[in-house]
Amino acid sequence: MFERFSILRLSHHTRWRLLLLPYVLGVIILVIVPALFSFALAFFHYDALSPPVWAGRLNFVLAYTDELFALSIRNSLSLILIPVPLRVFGSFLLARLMQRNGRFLSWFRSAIYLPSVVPAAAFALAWLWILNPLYGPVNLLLTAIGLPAPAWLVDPVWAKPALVLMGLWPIGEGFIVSLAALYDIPPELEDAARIDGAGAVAIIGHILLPLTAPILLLLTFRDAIFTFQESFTHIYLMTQGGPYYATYTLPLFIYEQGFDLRAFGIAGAALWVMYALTGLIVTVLYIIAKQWNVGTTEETFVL
Amino acid sequence: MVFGDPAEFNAYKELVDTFNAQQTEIHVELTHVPSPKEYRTRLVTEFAAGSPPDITLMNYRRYAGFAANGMLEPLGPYLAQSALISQNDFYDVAMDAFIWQGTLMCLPQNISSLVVYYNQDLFDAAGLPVPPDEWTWAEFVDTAVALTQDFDSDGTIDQYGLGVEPSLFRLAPFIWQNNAPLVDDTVRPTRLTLTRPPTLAALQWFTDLHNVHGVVPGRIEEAAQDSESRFLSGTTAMFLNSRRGVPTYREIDSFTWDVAPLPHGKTSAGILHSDAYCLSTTAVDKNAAWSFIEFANSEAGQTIIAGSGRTVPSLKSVAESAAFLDPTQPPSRANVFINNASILRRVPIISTWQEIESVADEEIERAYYGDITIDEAARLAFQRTEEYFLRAKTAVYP
Amino acid sequence: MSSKHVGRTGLRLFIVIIFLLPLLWLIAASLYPPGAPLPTSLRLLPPRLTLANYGRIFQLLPLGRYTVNSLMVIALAVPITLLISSWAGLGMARLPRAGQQRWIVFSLAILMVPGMALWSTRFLIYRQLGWYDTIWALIAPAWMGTSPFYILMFYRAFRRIPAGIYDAARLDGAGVLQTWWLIALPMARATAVAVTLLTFVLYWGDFISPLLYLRSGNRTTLPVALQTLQQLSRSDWGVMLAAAVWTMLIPIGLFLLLQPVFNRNKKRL
Repeated sequence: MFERFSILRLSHHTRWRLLLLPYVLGVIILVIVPALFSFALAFFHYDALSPPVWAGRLNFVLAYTDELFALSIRNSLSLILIPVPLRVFGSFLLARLMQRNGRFLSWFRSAIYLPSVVPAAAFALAWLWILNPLYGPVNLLLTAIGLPAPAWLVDPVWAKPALVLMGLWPIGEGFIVSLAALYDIPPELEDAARIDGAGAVAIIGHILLPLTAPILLLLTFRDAIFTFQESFTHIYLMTQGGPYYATYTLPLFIYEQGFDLRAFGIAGAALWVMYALTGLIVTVLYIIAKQWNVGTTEETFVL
Repeated sequence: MVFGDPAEFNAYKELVDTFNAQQTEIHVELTHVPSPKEYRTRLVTEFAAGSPPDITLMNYRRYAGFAANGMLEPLGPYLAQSALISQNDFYDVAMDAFIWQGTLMCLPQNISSLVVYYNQDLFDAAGLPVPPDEWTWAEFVDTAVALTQDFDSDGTIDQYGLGVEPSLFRLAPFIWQNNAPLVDDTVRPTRLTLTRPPTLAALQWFTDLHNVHGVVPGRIEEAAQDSESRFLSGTTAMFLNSRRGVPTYREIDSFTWDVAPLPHGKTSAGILHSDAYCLSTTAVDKNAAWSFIEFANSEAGQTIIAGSGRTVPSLKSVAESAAFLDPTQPPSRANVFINNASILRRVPIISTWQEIESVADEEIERAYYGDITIDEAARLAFQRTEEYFLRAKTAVYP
Repeated sequence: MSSKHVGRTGLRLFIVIIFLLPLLWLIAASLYPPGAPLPTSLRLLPPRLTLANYGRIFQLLPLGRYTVNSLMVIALAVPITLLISSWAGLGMARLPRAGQQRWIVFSLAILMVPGMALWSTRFLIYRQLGWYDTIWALIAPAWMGTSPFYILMFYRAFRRIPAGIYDAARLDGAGVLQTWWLIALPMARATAVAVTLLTFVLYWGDFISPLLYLRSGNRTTLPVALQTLQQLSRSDWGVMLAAAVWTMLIPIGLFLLLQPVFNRNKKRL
């Protein structure tokens, strides 16, 4: 029935390639062209209201000398370097805990995944409430058991930990990928180790972790990109970069330069930096993965 | 395109529906953006793409950036030819705010100002007289102190005397009341003058509300539940706001509320809040768009919006009519807004004012909550806003 | 049952409760009576349960209409995404090895483009295409498979199918589309389910696109409504959280519906 669509007389191989056509066209129109525009603006003065004027590398200089720019990069990095390994390692441990059979296991797994399907806006509102410094359940709980109750998102010291903390819930993707990776390990290996007297920690440390390392590494890479870009939604909705720039990240800097200050040139320069930083993170992880020599083949490609 | 909460939106919807029903040639479609911040994002995106809405409602602190880039069509010539309305029908102080390089750029719908909203039940319970038409800073603070209470003596304040947003825009009238300047030149400003002693004294008084008198919620208390919600739930006695809050406050049924003027310092001064209808240069049928603006600001149009409680009408005739002074609806002291008209001042009309405010607000907020001294805040606000003054275009010819 | 076994189930249960706790707190808070003072001591449920906040959100905003709008976005975006991304994934999997590597690198490079680089410039494109202020602006990314990530997911799934099966299909006279529909896609069902879920969650939660590319309020979607409520009633927690619960009901419902498929195929994602 589908043969009728193949009116064109093309070789079989070309027809396979044609399947890629909508994707490529879409990417060109929806990503490459608009992105090139934005990136090109880095070399112009542009305020969206009057025509662009050539600026050379001035926007890069302006961004470089802006203290808020440096601060936003530092904040971004710490909001990647701390939560991402926690999320990845956490989802690995959870996957291990939920790996073997038991009662209600499938329901337990679903429960772990459940927070990941909550829309970002609803998630952010929920956590604004949960971390409410006076009336939120977390602080009421801490007070009830006699612990000090931090002001979380209102306190410059605790705002970042608060964002890290709430980021530990939507880890469904990492959980599932880790689970799949654990299933790929032949159970005999583990059994043999157990006979040799290895404990639970030793099995994880000496067998499971090394064998799943490439996948965990690629998961880290995926999560780093994701966190870098997606942290914007939560921050925009919850702290707007505050209190006093404690959670002011690079995406927020770009947003403010572009949409608040209409300095699209500086925003463009910062976009370059963001792209370069992402590239750097990816390259470092790629090199590490290459060292392991397994992670980059398509068989274990977890992206 | 307008912004505001549902009560406000409904008023604009009624206005548009009435206009659309009156004639058949022109159909107006209403766009509503809930928050001012997103409103700005939307405006920038749409102006940048060259396709802004034909008509936008803009605050006088915001239109200058668009006017400076020739995105707005001056309305002066249209108004001059109107058979329905004329320049003299409007309050001058509102009109003046929208005069850009000699011509009226946008047509203001309202002449609102900062006033004190108070919960009469809480005043009665404390045995205090309601705020008079004339009162001093000291009386204001004393009242707020008397109304700040920890009923069960558990160390947590149960009722605050006052709620006010720690921002430059809220602080400004108190600076003027201290006979102090906000900027070095009101027409061609080049810097904030927060560092000057009389201005600094006003900032001191303002931050003392929190740091010394403790009559306003602290940062954590404010984040947990903001002052406006506390006022609405009857746990804050006085709240400073413009007319904007009225449609929402009219839904209060648990207590009686009213408005009083701001206290006065060495002198009396108020601060203008005004939004105007602006016409985009990209509008295809400018005459059609103007006929809507004209209708919205005719007696019939302004009466509809005034009926929602949202505006203090910029048309004198509507402001003095029952539509605004409606004795059956709170606030019963609505004439407070009209009396204010003679003492209103405004922040400078320059293209970068929004940026200046948002940077200054951050430092004022830090001083207000005691993170930094007022000297530090004044210095930082001055330094951080300098570049925006350099880049600014002013409402007068260069 | 050994005590170890019981211990493990206990630990699992504990973790699950921690994961569900935010959602339970959220639901509990949405059931508070409107206007009630905020709680100052810990209790799981309010003293008096009421759905009044849910009534109020529908009074404040035309939430029913927004829900329908959101569902329409899903109804278009999810199938288009599945179509385009599975095609591209299959096309990639059938390339020679070097070609595959190039496409992986290409897709990764696209994945790294910061979203905000596209916001204002996409606006111009949508206007050119006449998509501005229509539902097409919201679902536009579906035409590129939404995210290169999904293409890579399908690519991975199709790679696992032995080349012999494709060759056999060809010998049987099956064309490209026939092979895709009858052979490849059924073998990648788990991936298709996963992509469906991820796409659903993505479009359902997207609030940037409606914010930037819609002008008419009556076409907007649920996340924007949430934003609106947040701005309107900053400390009216009952109303905001009721709306948050309403917004997540449908994705959670869908997830629980797909949950059996999901679990069965978890290994082969």
